[in-house]
Amino acid sequence: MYDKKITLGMVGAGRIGKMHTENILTNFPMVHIKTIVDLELDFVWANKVGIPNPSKDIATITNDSDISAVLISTPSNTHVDMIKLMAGSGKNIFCEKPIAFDLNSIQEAIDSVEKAGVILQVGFNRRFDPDFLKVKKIVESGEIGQPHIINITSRDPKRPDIKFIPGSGGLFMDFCVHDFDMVRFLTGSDIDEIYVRGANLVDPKIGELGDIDTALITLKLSNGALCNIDICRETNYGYDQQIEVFGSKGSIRAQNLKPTSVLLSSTDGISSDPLYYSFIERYKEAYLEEIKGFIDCLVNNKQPIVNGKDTYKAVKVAIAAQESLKSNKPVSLRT
Amino acid sequence: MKQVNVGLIGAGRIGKLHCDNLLQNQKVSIKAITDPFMDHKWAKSRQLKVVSSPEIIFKDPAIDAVFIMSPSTMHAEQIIQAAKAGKHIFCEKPIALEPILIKEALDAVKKANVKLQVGFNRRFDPNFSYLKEVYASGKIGNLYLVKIIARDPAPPPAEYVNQSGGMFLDMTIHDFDMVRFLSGSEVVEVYAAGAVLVDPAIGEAGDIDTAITTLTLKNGALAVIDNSREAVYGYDQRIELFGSKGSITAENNTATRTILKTADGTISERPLDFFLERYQDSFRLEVNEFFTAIIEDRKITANGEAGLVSILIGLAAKKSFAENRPVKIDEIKQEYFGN
Repeated sequence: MYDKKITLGMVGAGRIGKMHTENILTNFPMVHIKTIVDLELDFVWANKVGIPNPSKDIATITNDSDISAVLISTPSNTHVDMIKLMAGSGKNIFCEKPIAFDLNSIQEAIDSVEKAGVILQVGFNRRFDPDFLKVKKIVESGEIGQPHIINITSRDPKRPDIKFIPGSGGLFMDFCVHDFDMVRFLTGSDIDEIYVRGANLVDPKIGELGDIDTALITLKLSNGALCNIDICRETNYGYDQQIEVFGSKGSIRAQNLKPTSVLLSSTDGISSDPLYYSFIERYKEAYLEEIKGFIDCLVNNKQPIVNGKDTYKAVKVAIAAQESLKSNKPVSLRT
Repeated sequence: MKQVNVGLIGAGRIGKLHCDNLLQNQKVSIKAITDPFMDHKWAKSRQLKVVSSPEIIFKDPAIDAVFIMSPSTMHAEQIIQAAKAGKHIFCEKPIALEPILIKEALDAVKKANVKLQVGFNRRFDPNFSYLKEVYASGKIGNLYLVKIIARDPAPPPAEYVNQSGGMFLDMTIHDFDMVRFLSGSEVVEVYAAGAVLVDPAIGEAGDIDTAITTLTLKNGALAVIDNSREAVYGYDQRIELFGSKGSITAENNTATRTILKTADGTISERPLDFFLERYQDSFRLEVNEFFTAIIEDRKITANGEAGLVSILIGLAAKKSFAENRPVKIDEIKQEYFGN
């Protein structure tokens, strides 16, 4: 596939870091993961999967000129410092979303990357999902005409551990940034205005921490289209991820994925598999494809399809969402 | 009372539809019909007795109930006259576009102690009444979201939008009523985002053709309605109720359940066009409930209150769109009725 071998360093080996590592080891023979760094590294796991150089010290990556690129999946509040550090050492960077919760920090990260002339791809994995890519392709082909309404359903299967809420950045920053990015991605249009109707219906403890768990978000896009996003922290029936783009000549819908397409007919009715439960299962292909995209950028010297600027814009919408919720007013994002 | 004697006021598209359904209904006998532009050939083919004015129907002591299917600007006044004459009333929506006129009509109905049903036929659609039944059974738990997609197959002529009261009062009004019906709760606040994307002539006539309306309900749940005046693939009418234990969705109705597979892909039928076909059953079921309520002296569910409240929500949506801010229903009540 590629003749060039890439030497990669992994920064962070939590749930997502481990997933990316195992994905790369299994699927991308042209990539050599030389080093993995985590302050609380699981050495047993690192040895088992066969990383030559597991470490707790970040300098083992920054000081190693063999390593041309890094994959950052440390906790969100460390992303900016890591990006600056890695850009300073001339490494190309893949970083999990959302870089930071404030725009100045994101801008600093972008500046450091631009100054160093390295690549920064951000982990908006859903852009690489085959279903959503198909939706985008149909929208771009003009088959459904001008988009009029974008309708997104984005619901988690189960509420997160309550301990996770305070550091999460809130529902919009943690959860909806993906959807804000998806709207921009699918329509190729920016978000002009936002209004949020929120509620705390799933768990009163989430409300006590100042967050919400259910929301309807209305967006006005710069191409004139309207958008509705419905959000909930808990369905109990699985990970509900649907998108419809409705336009002047028709509509295209991405429906939920299930492990199998088997139908069971019984006296109770006709039933199919429950939806996928975890995002890792639902977006399995997307997680692989985003890494493939990153490798393609490294090998062929391309620019990533989702960069720091996209993150900046998605986070800006998330901040406006919070403002709208607080003031109960539509908030303009026009610049 | 075993059979209800009715008089019909209005024989336009919806008048003819109801009339034909009533002719099939064993509980009903049609005594007279009136319309200034009567299609006499049609009336003759149904063997209907045509009279020259609504007053003749109101004065006829043999008539128990009237169907008001005249242009909507005449509804309120005709309700008042019918109520004064002691007739039970079935009236097409909207009763009026002005809350004061609706209130006057409802007061007359109350004073006369007659029954009034408003033509919110969708409440009787088997899909949607099943959604309500499942929610009531507790299967989906506490209600979180009501999600309605309601898109017409083709836009009306721009001249129509002027007298219709605009998209929120003409089209979304059904959805506002549906939110109340399904949730069993009241709307507290509305925010409406709208756009002219289908036909610039609709914009020039002062209306919109695309809208997303979000609502907060008294029981804490949220609702969203997405409307378009034109879905080229057909009449798109879908509803989801989502709650703490699950979700139930009503998908579109199609004429058949066939699926065509060819080298180009898999194609199932487009949704049924238009409301006369899609909501065919509901028109029969709604009048059936009306007659059952009269015969067995039961309460009407699609009542005058539903007619009034849906207009108040529509006016809130209109104001929300005009001023680009969320509007509480109380603000509209205050505006029209004071304290």
